[in-house]
Amino acid sequence: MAEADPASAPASGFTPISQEDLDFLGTDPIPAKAYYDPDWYELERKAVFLRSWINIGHQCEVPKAGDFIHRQLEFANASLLIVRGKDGQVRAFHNACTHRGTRLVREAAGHRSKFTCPYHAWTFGQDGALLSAPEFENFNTTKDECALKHVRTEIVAGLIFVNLDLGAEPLLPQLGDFADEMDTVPVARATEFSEYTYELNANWKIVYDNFQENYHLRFIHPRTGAGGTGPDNPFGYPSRYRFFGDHRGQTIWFNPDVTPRGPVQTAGFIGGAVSAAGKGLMDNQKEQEYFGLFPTFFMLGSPLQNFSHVIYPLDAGRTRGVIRMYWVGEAENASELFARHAGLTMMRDLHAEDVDVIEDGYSGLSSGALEHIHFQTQEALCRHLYNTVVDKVRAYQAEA
Amino acid sequence: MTGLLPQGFEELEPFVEDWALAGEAARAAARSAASDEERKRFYDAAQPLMEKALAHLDGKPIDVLEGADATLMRLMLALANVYHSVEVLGDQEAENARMRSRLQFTDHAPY
Repeated sequence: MAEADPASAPASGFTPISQEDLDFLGTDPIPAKAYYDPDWYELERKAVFLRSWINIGHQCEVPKAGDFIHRQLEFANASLLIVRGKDGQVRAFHNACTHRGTRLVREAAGHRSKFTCPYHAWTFGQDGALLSAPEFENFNTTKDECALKHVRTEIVAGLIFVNLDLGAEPLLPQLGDFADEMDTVPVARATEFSEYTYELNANWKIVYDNFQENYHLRFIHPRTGAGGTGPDNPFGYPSRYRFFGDHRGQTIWFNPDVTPRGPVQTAGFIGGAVSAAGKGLMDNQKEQEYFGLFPTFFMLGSPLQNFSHVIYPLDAGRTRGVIRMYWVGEAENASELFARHAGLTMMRDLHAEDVDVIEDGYSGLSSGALEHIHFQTQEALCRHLYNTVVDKVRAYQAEA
Repeated sequence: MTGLLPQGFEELEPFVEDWALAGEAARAAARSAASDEERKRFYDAAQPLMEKALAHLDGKPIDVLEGADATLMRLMLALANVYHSVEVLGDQEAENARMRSRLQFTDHAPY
């Protein structure tokens, strides 16, 4: 692991991270083509997305045996069925009957003890085993061979990740200090969430990069992002960057003396703090950590605003995103529910401010006008993402 | 008009039809569809009663709010939407509304 700033985040005051600490990432301009070229995206699809751990949900969506969710992964043209079995295990399968490929479920979520194909009634258990198939004696195969096609799953901090590569390295050992730290934030204990989604006309890296640099904060979020700046840190830069192999993080600085902008925002802040304290969440010392898991997951682990953001490429120039605010337990009273919704509004409004610059960035690059783009010191995480993608693509090409 | 809201909150009754909506998606849409004046009128009426309303509702089990109490809860959740236009965004509201229409809520919660 490379630690950009060996000192822990300062308790007060602020020292920006220096370029020398980040020199290992390189300083060269970045080829612009990687951000719009369909041929490069096709390499990324095979070298990154078909081989990496992708967050597709949270275990709170399948609390009981037989609960299932159904998710599309457009980059793989795959439909996945994620089921909790009688043994408590969460498993993922291709949502395709092993007879002739028919989708087993069409609804987004539900509960079933068995999964019966509508076409010829092949019936599968929660563990994917083929239980019965009419006239099976007339097929020249075995039930073992006809189990549902398994997709690897791993649960980290309550989040369900899948990997379409059966030979991929497990996720948890890759995560360094993140593994334990992610377990201390509310998402690990979440029982419900609020969610909003989007589809943007931009390459997936342009979308993701927007959320891993604070250089744009003062220009795009002067009002909604006010809590992230202060006299000590007028540009709202992070106090630490960290890198664990393919994954990366930052410690988000925030102004402890920020003044809410009105009585409702004040009530939302207070209600959120009271609620978090009541659930023991304010003890968490990683309240400002940003956890970025390669390729397209990130989460801000604040007790008041524990949100995750996952980006799914649709093609070289279109991206789907899912943003969730995770909650521990149902709101216990009206004040807590009110605070949750006030925070949700603030978060969505802040994210909305990025829409134009993300799409306009892609529009500018996809014209082919630029040969290179440039990342400064405070865009180090964007550079690390690009470097990591290139490493994956080169490794894939070397295998071929 | 009586009985739409709990006793003591009658002055919010004119806002029930437009603002006491079920679901975050519906409330967010109402916020964006309203004019600056409509948002301000609702905020100016509801904000001074916020503390009293939440204190009233906090005394009741949140998962079984019914009738007038459920309506008051929804009005408060609409305030938890509209406040951001009034207190934070100000003259950036219209631009924000255009862009945030791209971010669509998927509703789970009962309110």
